[in-house]
Amino acid sequence: MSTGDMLKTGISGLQVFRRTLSTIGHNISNVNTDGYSRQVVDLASRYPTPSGDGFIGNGVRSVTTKRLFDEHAAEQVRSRTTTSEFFAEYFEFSSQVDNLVADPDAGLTPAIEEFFDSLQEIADDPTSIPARNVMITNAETLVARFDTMDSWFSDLQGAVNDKIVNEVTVVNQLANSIASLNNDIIVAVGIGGNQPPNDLLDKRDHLIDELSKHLNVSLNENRNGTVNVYVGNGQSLVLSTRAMQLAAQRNPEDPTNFEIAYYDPSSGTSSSISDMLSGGDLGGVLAFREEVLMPSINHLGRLAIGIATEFNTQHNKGLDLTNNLGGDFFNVPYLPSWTVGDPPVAELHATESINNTGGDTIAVRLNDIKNLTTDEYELTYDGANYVLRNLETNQLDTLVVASGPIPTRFNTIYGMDIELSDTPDVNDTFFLRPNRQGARDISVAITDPNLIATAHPLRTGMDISSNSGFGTISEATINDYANPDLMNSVTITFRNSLGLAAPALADVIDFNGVGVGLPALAVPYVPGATHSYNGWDIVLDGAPEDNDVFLLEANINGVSDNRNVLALADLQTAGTMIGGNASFHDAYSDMVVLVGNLTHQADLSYEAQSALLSQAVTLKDNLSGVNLDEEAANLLTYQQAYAAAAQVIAAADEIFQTLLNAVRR
Amino acid sequence: MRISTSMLTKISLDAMLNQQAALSNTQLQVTTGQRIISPSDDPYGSSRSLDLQESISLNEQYQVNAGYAKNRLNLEESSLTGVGNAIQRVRELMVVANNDSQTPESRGFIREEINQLLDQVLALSNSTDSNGEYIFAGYQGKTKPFAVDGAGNYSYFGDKGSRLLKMSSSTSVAMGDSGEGTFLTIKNGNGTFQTRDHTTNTGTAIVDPGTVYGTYVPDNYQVKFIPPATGDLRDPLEYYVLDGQGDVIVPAAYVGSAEGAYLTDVQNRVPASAGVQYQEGAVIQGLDTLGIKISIAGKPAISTTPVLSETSMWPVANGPYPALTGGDGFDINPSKFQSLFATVKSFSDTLASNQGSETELTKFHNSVNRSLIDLDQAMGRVLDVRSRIGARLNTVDKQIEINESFSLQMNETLSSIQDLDYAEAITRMNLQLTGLQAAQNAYTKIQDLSLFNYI
Repeated sequence: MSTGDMLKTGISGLQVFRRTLSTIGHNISNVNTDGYSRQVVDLASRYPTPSGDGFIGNGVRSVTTKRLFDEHAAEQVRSRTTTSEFFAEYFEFSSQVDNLVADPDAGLTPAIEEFFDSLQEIADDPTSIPARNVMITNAETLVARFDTMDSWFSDLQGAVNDKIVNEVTVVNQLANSIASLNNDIIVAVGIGGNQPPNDLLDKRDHLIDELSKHLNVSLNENRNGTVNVYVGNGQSLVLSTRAMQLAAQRNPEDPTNFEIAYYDPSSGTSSSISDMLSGGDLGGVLAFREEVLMPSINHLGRLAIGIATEFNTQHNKGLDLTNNLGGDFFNVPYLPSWTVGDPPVAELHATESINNTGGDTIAVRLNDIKNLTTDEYELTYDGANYVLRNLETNQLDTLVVASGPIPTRFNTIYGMDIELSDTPDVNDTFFLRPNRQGARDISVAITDPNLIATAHPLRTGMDISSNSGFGTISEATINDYANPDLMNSVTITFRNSLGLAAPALADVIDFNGVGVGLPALAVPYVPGATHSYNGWDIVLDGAPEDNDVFLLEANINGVSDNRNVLALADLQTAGTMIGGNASFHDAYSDMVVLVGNLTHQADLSYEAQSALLSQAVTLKDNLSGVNLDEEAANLLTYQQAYAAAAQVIAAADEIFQTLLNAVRR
Repeated sequence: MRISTSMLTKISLDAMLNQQAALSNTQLQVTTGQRIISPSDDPYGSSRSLDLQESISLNEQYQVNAGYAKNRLNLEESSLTGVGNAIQRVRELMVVANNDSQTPESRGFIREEINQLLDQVLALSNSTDSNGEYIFAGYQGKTKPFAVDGAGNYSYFGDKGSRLLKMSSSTSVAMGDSGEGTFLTIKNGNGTFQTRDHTTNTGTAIVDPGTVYGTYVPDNYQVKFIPPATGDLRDPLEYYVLDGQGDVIVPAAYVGSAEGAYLTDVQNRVPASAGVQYQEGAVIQGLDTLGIKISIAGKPAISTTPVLSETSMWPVANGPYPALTGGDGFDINPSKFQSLFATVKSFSDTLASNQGSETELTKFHNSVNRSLIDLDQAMGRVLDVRSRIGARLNTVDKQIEINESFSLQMNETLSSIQDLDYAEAITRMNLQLTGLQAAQNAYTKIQDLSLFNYI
């Protein structure tokens, strides 16, 4: 063995250990770098020199510098990042709604309570104009509260849209960066002679991790070290060095909401992939919109329509201080139930798809509040049937045509009377959003306190001066407010059998007045029987005497009558909503519980997922993370090895000097 | 297992952040005193607390309603107390005026007082509440309900309405009574029938108001007097009774026979024509099956043409009586509604009538007797209404108590749902503070640990 060999061996150690030490330095420097994977130098002994008496070792060499990275662990981190970001984003948006709905100042409950309280105040003192003004003010407050909440929801809708736009921009940038890093990796591998470009790989994998915060991704690694990234249902976002682009755009069928479109380069078409995206910020914000925001808007809208419609219906039944039947108290987009022969009406509570070829319009009348759902629907004509699809539950119903075709009207379904202006073209589609605008569409119609209909339209009584019997007349109940003769006075005279000529043997009553079927004479008297004329029902009972007279007349100047305002106040607790089992308050409570539950779930899921994420990161770092203590120990080890290798060189030098000295002599 | 340095930092940091978040939530709970900060903290609890808040608010409104009803009922009660006192005074004056010691002059003074009392009752019946609403006008609270015209006729412009106030979800109370029910729909007479002397009476017979005896059969009956069948006018007079059809129903033998035929029989002294013998102050017979029990006192007059003398005889042998031209008679009619005002007014008019002759005085007494029983009916009605008011006030008071205890219970339930258990929260906060401090300590300790410190 030559001294030169020994030098070479020593130098190999020096070179390799310096390289190792610099890798340790690299590790230490990157201890806080996101996505950095610990690197190690793989060492191997150099090829030995053969000799007659065996192989002589030639020192050490570095095979490669590799990063400690486990794709499986990385995949776990990515998928849990996606899920945890999903819930984080969901919770962040949802908790905003959550905080609003039950707020004693901003929530709806206090406004509803105060409105109905003011009705009770009027019931206490119907002649009081101040009490009436308070009620109108409270109604305006209620409407304003609906409007505030609705506009606040609209703002959230805008925030969701902004978020989508931002997210799409970020996703596109990340896709571009990943594609360009893929390119760098191909180049680096070429230059480095197939050695792995560790830092570039880390950087790219880190970008993919970042991408997974925004949406759910799946990967496919190519043989040249590049990866393909897929989103949604397998739409490719990055194909090796090529990046595709997502776009945020208004949903043409629902322009208030943005959706995410994907441009497919192979087919050259652009299509919405919002429904296919899951996970990440983007998935979270989309799910929040679908599960919390839009249902909240619809809940609020249904409640507004419900209160306004039910209140109007009862208000129309009362008599105001100007002795007229009550008008509408609230303005609400409303059409009475259609009757045969009604002309078609303009678009209401629904829109036509932009793809329709038939050009027919749709209108929805909401008369059956208690069966109204908070869902939105899609109506499609398949050439034979009209199919209604619930966009929440996907429940399908075939509509029953009631009359048509101009306009085509259907039997009431889910509280909706649907009407198409004509038979549409095959596959024409309509979107029914009965509650979407409700909260912002209502307003108070009455400003004059005298127009609050507090009294019952009719009063009954008897002729005090002539009656000698013990007959009674009930209050009139009204079965047909539209009857033109409703308010006509009717005189009811009892005639007993004794005073009648044969063959009449029974007691009879005469109804004298103007109206359909009037005058009605010699109607048999049955105590407790109901008599109906002119749209009212009354009950005559007891033992009247011959020629006793009872009266039914319009409740003119009945200013102290609170019967209708009591009926209005009773609406507060009446089962008018959700199948007739829920009050207005219950319907609102329903929404509070819905939002509360979803937010609560999102919060719990977020906590669970971040714990899982933490575990996954720990697992990944178990292999890939830098531990400074470990690096310090390695530093010492290789420093010592380096010193030892230097000693080998010194020894070789000494041997050489010894030889030289011997020769010089 | 290897732990990376950054992970070590992150774990300690996360621990601190979690402790801080929990602490901040606890702090929010402690400062607001609420267990539920937003619905997601307890979705069911927050919905329940919304329900309770609505019930409590509604309950508060019911208390306001009850207070309002109480005021109105008290107001009505005090008006009716005034009316009751006035009626009592009228009754005293009636009794005084009915006394034969009174002179037309003294009755004139009584009349003046009666008229003043009538005005007083009118004013009370037109009482208004603090908002100017007439409390006895029914639904037409802004219309003055009672008015009198120049001829002394009283009119009512209200109706029979009375409004209800809700005092709980299931309890309502009428906060008043209409003027119709209070002052107008009062049955005259004894409440079932009214006895009345014929205006043409010339005798001194006085009828009592009568009582209901068994089942009353309503009709317009008349009791009429005729000479005795013996022809001897010293014998008791006789009477017969007609129903509304003009058929003689007493004596029983003549049921169904028209009055004219009967009188012809009496005049001709057909044997079966005898009436019922009149005994002063005795119950009129033959009416018990009709549910009527009345008695007549005094001396009724009979009249014939030519006039029969009480002292002379008209023996049977003389043949028929001179033509019978209708003696004194009394009506028994079903009661009708008569207002308090009409009753008092009628008494006032009676006081102004002539009281010179025996006949006029008899009419006077009959009329005052009628007014007395009518007034008793009115008094009874006012007392009825007042006792109903009392019962309602009682109900209102009870309901106020029930509502209060209900409200208390619900507030307690609400508190148990939404209010914070301070002891628990403070303990929790201390624990969290300790946890945070521990996490911070651990962090600094772990950060200090590095092999590099020893190289």
